[in-house]
Amino acid sequence: MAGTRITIVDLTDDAALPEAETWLTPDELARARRGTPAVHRRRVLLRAALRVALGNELGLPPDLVPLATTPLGRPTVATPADLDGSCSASGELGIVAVGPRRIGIDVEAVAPWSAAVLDEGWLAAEERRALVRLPEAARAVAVTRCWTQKEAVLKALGTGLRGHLAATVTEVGRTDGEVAGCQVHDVRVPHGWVASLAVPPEEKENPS
Amino acid sequence: MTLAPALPGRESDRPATQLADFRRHCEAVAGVPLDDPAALHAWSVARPREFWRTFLDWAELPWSGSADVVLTGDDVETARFFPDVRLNYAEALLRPLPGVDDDRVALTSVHADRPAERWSRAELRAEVLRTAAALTRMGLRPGERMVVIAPHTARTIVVALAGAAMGAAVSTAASDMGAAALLGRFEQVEPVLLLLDRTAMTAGTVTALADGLPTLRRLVLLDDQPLPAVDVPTSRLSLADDDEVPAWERRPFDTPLFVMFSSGTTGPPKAMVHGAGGTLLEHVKELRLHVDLRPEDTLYFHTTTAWMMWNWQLSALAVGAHVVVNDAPVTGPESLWELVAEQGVTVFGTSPAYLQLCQDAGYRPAGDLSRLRAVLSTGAVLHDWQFDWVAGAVGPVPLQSISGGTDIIGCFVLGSPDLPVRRGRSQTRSLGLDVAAVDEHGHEVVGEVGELVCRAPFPSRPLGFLRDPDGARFHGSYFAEHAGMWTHGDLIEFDPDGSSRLHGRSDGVLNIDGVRIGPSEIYTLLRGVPEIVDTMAVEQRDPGRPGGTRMVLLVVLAPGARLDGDLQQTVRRTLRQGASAAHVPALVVAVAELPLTHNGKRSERAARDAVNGDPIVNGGALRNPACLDAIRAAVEDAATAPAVAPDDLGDDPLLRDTARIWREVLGAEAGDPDADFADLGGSSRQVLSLLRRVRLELGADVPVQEFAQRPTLRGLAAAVADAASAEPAGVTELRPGQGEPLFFVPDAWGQLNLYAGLVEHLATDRPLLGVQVPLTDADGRHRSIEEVAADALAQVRAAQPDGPYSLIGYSFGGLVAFETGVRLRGSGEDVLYLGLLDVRPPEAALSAQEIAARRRAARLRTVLSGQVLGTVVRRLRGTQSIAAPPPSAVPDAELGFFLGSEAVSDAYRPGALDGDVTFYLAAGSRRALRQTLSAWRRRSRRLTVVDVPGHHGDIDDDRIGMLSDRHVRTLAARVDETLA
Repeated sequence: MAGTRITIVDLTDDAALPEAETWLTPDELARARRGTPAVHRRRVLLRAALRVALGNELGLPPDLVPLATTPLGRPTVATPADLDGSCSASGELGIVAVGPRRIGIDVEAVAPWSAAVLDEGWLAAEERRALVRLPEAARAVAVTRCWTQKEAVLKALGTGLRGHLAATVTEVGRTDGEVAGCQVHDVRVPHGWVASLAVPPEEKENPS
Repeated sequence: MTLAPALPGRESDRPATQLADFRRHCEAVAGVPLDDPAALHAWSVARPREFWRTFLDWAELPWSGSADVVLTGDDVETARFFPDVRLNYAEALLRPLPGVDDDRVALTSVHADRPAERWSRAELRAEVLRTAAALTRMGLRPGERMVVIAPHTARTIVVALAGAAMGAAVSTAASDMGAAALLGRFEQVEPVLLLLDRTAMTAGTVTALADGLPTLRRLVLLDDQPLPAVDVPTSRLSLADDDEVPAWERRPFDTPLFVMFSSGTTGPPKAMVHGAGGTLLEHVKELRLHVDLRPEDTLYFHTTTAWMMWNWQLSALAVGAHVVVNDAPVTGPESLWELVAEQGVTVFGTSPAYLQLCQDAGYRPAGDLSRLRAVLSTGAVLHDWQFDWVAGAVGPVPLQSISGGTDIIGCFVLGSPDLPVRRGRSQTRSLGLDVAAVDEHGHEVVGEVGELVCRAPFPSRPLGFLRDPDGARFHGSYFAEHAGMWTHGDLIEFDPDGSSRLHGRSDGVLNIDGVRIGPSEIYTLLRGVPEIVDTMAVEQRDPGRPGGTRMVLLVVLAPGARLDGDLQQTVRRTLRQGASAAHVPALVVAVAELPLTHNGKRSERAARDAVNGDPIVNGGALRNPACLDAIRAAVEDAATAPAVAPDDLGDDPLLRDTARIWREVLGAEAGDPDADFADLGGSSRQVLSLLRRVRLELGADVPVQEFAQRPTLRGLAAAVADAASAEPAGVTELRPGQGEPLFFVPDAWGQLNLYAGLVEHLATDRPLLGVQVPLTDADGRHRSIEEVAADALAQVRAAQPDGPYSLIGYSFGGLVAFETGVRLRGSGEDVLYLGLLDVRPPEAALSAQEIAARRRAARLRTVLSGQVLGTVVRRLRGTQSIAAPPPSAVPDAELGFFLGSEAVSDAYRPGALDGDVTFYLAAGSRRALRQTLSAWRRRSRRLTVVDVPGHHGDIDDDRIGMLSDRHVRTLAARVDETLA
């Protein structure tokens, strides 16, 4: 994905926490502090990593990046430049994507396969069928990728997450392809996680 | 779980991996995408016949005969591969290869005392064939056995391949082994020829071998020393110009190729026989798919002729790679790295011991390692810090920990070119090998240490042991512990991603309340705690719980360190985070020293006896037996584990029940009931698991949107209470509208999701409602169509007290809709519209003729779609009557659920419906349904059939369904037309 930069964030890095906190706004800090120690650390480190990544693009120090959050929880950058950021975390791993156009990224730790997933209502019928047709040992990763691709696509499209998951149909077993009009790609992350990046179709008026 | 940073993949100029090319072949055979590395492995073990046949074809090895029979059975102990394939191992290694220069160097033999020798493929082939002729002249016949005791040189390779070419089985060993060890092995082999390089061998050993191997016809000397005075005819290996050079003769797949020896701890080593085909197939598979070895590669694997890695690296000739061998000893950390640099080695194989030697010496390779692209290590557990050392001292090349054994002449776990390396771990399972960790009952365990087993036949299983005519020793060695599995004798732990970590041999394992724990991981983790010098984990009978066991961790502290609460907590946290909760000891006890044997080996056995207050069995073998009394006393003094703080949630049973689920989903204490789910670390993915469990266990359907408004434990409990008081669940609004509603009946999974596209595209302004009916009762039994329809009827009538009614259903849902319609008519209501979306008439409704027609169509369809799963579904269904198949008869749970729904479908006997019925016939179902639609016509005289594009979209069918994005607009338009 041309121009997209991905940062993997180690969310266990206690040492980075004090400096990272100084880059956050009071609102961001307050939100982080509501969480358990692990959640607090995750929110601070992830937000800080997003600020650093955006700052690198804008030539700004991380604390001066004009970063805001939409009511749906999506980060937005108040800048005339074409710049978008997306981030996600699961367990001890965070991931940040920054690029010159709308993007969505999602990471999720792989949980052992359980048929219960088929019953959670977020998979389309064809996805459930395709999962069942995969060898059982392949399903845990495949269903995690269904999730990350859906989330990444919904983030990229900027629509709310809820209610649209089952309608965003992925091709089970494929790491790269097209989902709901977006290009999706696997992002290489440590074992035990799956991450997907989604980019919506190029807008005509978008230069270059 | 510890977080391992992803090592950056070396994006190089190398073309796409051979694995990627092979995967495409597999996808074509499997008919499913196998992008994910784990998916390819899963397929390879789920469909072994397809996998191995695809590999044989793809590998383009020279063979003749027939590969139609891939496998003669499914028993790991007895099944044979490719019984009708004939091949010659030496031919496969030495044949001219397309695209490989026959005159380019193929084998380099590096010597300690003289310049290296080099051989092209053409030279090597000629030399092997001439040597084969010479061996024939010396009396070697196909099916006989020969022994080669010689250093790791090209000459050894030539004579071994010459023997293999002739159809003899070859057994090799290093010259520096003692006479007793050599005789203990080779006396069992009963060789007719002994080929000997006496460099580094004493005269006494030569005599002992000649005397101790009564089957010898001839002793053949590979060195230049004077002929020995022995009672066996003796000669030098001489190649005669007039020898008739033999042609490659292809022999059965299971022709004995190598005799190898297990490193048994008791009794003489077991002599196992490996077959030519299995060895070749496994090696080429590992080298090409897992190492991505190619003709342009140079492989050096540091080994001796006595180790199975010698046989393994030899097979790299079959790939066309350049193989380097070396008879020089390792004299220091620089020895092998210098060889790697000088020879331009691209793939270097070594051992943890050598890497540790380098690390301990503070060595950094100095030569040009620019060609090196992978380092392989095997032979022992490779520790995390060794990955760091290689990354720091050698550079960004993947360090691949590979492990298997002599017993399988290959690897169970190894590397993969398309996966990053996780430090401390082997990347992946060997393709085609159903490798797992199991507990003592043979059940697979993931994320914890278990016994390494292989659960299905694999080609490189030994043909058997020598001197074991009834196979009893062979059976006892590998197949006795777990029925139907090869039990390897190693401890291993797999993560769900398929990566693994070895934990040493199975003996010495702790069993804490049934959880097997390899202590090596504990030692490795605590190595990083500076206050602790040494540790020993032992199992103790739990004094508080008869029959229970717990772990006692003995620690030797650094000078000045104290085992206070902080250090205890550090130990526990380190083990919990680095390993698992099961690795956290019940007791941590400081001791002055640990029991050691006279040889300096740690004696966990003695410590365990001391901790349990048992008599010390091996006290005489200990260097420091007095430490045992101190250990016993220290353990007795140690305090017992602290009590666990209970939740403080008051007496509200609903809150407590909700808290239990909340806690289990979060994997943490519920804590403050007013804390936000996300603040506690819950993910959006977990919300859906949470709500599903609430629905199943508390019977309350809490929508995501409602949970999002109050995402706390107390909020969820309140939502559960609301939902419980609002029952029955009733219909759900799919889309609001005006007038009489159209009811959608759920599919065979009990879901309405599949109608999402239809709901979106229908033009009607009538309300669209979804019926929500449980398909199973509390015991998990599938309810009949009539029972489900009775629920649906109640819901429909509750939502719309008076007719006329409109209902629609797909497949299974169509049957329920039909029955609901029959019941509505039966109670005098009007059914204005009943839409059946490609609803197969149930078997119970068919005439004999229709049943026969369906069987023909189903067979045809199975053949057309090539879907094996579909065949399974139909075969299981072919024998069913009324009840759902028992869960155990079904391959897996979700398929079982689906089959349950299918079974009740077929048991349904629809009544007559005097009303308008519209049947939407999918184009792909026309052939299958044409002859059975009469069953519907018999029951509803006013049946209109509307053609729609697409396929049915069954569980075994990935063709584009009528409800898919592609076709749903057309379907919606047709429904709108008939609905009006």
